[in-house]
Amino acid sequence: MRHVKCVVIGGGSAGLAAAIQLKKYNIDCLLLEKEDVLGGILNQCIHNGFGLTRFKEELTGPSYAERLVSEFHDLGIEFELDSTVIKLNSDKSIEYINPKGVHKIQAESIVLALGARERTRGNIMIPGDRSVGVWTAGSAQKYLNIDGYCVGKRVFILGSGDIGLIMARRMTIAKAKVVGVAEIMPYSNGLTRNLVQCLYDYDIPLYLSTTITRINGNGRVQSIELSRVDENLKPISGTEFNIEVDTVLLSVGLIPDNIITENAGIEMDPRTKGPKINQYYETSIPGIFACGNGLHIHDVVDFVSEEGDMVAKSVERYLNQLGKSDLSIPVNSDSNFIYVLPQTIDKSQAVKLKFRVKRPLKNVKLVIRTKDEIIMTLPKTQLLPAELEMITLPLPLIDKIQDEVRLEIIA
Amino acid sequence: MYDIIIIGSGIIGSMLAYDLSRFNVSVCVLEKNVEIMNEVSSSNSGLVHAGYDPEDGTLKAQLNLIGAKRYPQIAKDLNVDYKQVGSLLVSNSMDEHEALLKYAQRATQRKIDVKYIQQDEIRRMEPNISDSVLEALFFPTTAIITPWQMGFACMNYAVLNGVKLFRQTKVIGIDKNENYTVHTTQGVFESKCVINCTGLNGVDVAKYQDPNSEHQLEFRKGEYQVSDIRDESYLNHVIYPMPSKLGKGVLALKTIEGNLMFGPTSYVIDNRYDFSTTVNGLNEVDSKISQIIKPLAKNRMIRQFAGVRPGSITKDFIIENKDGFINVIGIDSPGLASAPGISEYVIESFLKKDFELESKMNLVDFKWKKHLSSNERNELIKDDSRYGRIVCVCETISEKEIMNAIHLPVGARSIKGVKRITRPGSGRCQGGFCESEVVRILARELNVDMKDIPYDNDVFLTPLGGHDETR
Repeated sequence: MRHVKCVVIGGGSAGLAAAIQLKKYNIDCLLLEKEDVLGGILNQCIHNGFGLTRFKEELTGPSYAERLVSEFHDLGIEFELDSTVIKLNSDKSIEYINPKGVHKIQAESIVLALGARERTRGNIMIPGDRSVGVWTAGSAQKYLNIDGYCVGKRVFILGSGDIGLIMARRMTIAKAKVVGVAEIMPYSNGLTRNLVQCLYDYDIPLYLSTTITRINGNGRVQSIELSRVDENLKPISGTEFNIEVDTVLLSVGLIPDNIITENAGIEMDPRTKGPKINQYYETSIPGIFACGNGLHIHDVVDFVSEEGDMVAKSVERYLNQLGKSDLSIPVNSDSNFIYVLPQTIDKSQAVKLKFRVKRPLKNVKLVIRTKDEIIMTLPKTQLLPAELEMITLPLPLIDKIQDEVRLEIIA
Repeated sequence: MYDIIIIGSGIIGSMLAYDLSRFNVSVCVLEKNVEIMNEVSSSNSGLVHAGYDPEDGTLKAQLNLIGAKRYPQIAKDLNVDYKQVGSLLVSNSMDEHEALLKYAQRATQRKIDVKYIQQDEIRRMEPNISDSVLEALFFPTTAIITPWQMGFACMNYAVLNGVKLFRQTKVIGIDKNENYTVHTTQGVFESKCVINCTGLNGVDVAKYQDPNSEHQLEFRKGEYQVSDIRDESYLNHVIYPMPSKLGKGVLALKTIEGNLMFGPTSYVIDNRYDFSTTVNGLNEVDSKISQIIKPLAKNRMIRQFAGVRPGSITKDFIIENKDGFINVIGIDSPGLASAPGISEYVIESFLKKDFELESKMNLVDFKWKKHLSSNERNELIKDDSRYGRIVCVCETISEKEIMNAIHLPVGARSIKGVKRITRPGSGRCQGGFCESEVVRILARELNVDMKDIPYDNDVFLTPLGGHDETR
């Protein structure tokens, strides 16, 4: 069986960054990509807004990917395309299929850069007819930007996630009529810049606290029934109204795509739907690391790549057997948070905590405590679920940590 | 001019085509949809019931038993999946004890294997059974199949052995002179005998031959929920609640591929083409399923669907020969389980009297291509690298397997057809990643534009069949 120092699974914005960085540490790696090109989902994201942090300029998705891919090729990193990993084993052997055969290789370390998939109609159980014309926003994006087909003429978008907003604009430019966007929450789930540039600039109405309660149409979608929802997100009877459309796009969330991770027996976090990690982004199996949207959902690609960089450093530490402490201190949070990453820390170095809040919060204090002692208080004028927050705990504060780190919000 | 025209290519039409293709008669099948097995036969539980629940003296009781007996051999001959997983008929209250004994006795009379089991053993066999389950009957012969795989395999065999299949050919009228003249949207077909197995339209087609036909159908909708395959280990057997006058009830099963499936509900609908799911229906599935097994997390569900069952108001199958026009209508549950029995019954009771049926020589074998193991795939890649280009990651399906589905004797012509034959789009991403690639392969293999690939009958990628100003 072939033996590889490090296998990177996934050639998108996280995996490419990790592989590039690994090469800079002089670690031989093999990158496996399931598609026939590198770059991942970025290839279909032809809008701009990428790279402001990493490359200090505004790029389209394909250009952002191109920067990474050309650096990757310049470094002569080994990769295989059309290569689908079918099994990841806890001993760090990997089985994958590509046009050359079914292969099994032994890795000394693994970077999971698996990306995410979109929630579907079945996941959120929208009742109604078995109509054709209901796609995830990403599928419609692929049809339009890769294949050149605009799948709708009168389009409604459910969910105000970023892909939905981007597609509202994209379909409008492709001469479809985007009739509206509905969001079940009382606030938008997309970045503010996308709300402004993709909806407001095109006069596309956004219906808050509203959801689709039925899709109508035998054959093609003919109409949808929308309902207002109450504070428990349940449709309010009597508020139904119908809109005639031929297409429904769903932008109702991304799920880290972790089937091989789960099957390997790696511990998962039901809140992120990615693996649990320590501050080195190492999963419950030593030597297997995770980053990018396969770990948790990001809103800015630059931070996806940054995680790839960071994980490469952890792989280097691991392969060089640089000690880490045996401490495993849990990072917890109160009910205002969807999640906090990493799930555990070891007090050996400064750590960047990443989190999302459950609902918009204004003029609050973010408190980080350990047992009864508050070690950090940060005033926050605004916290939004749509925006991934990051704060660094420097070493002097880390020293104070006892059995637990806990994030809380106080008024 | 044919000897026999079969109208409809659901499981009954496909099974009849399969059986008849082995005799020296000329047969054609008329199907109004772009794909076969498209309506009643594709949206059901996929079960070969043991046969204890139909009432004594009914065709349902008689033909379910024959069907269950014939299926293992048919599955073996065609290499389709057939798994005797066994079933538990569970009781939740002492009130159901009597009924349980009734079914045990009936099963014994019908020579169906049955075993009475108590709480400890139930829990050993099914760790996730509901706490309220008190006792159960175990039927080891209950089997699962994938309905469309069975039907597709039968029809492919039939077509390879001389049966003519005409798709997108809707019957619009029937005349009888010396022979039957069947008028369709694609022209006129003639035959000595017609078999009407048109499912939802059984009575309408029967009336083409006899306007005074008094048969009546009642359409019952059943809603289902389907989980991701990762919960495969959650369930081992088919779990039935105690039947009621509404039918077999909301049951739990694991499909051949490993998805958990819960359903169906059962209520009468007016529009026979109402394949919609409803809030009430899906909630009913949730609440009823929780009476027999411990509930599975909601976020595990990847799909909901509804099927429609055309039942006769007589509560039994209607199988009759009226002057060479054979009606096979009112085929609701256990229709799938009975299909080989129904086909045999039609041939033995009617066709053998009207035709001198002699077995054909030199029959061509047809073997369904099952899902590949890694070793099988590795071997195939040596000859064709496209077996190694995975298109559907969720279900591990390659470009070549999709091409094979398109180039079968009865090949896929739509996204739905490819999905039924080889499963891309059936997994957790529900086609989110692979659908456009499937369309691209269909377009390439059929030499048409992507926009002209139907999802289903006359429904395409774009609402106007591909009008696209950005191109």
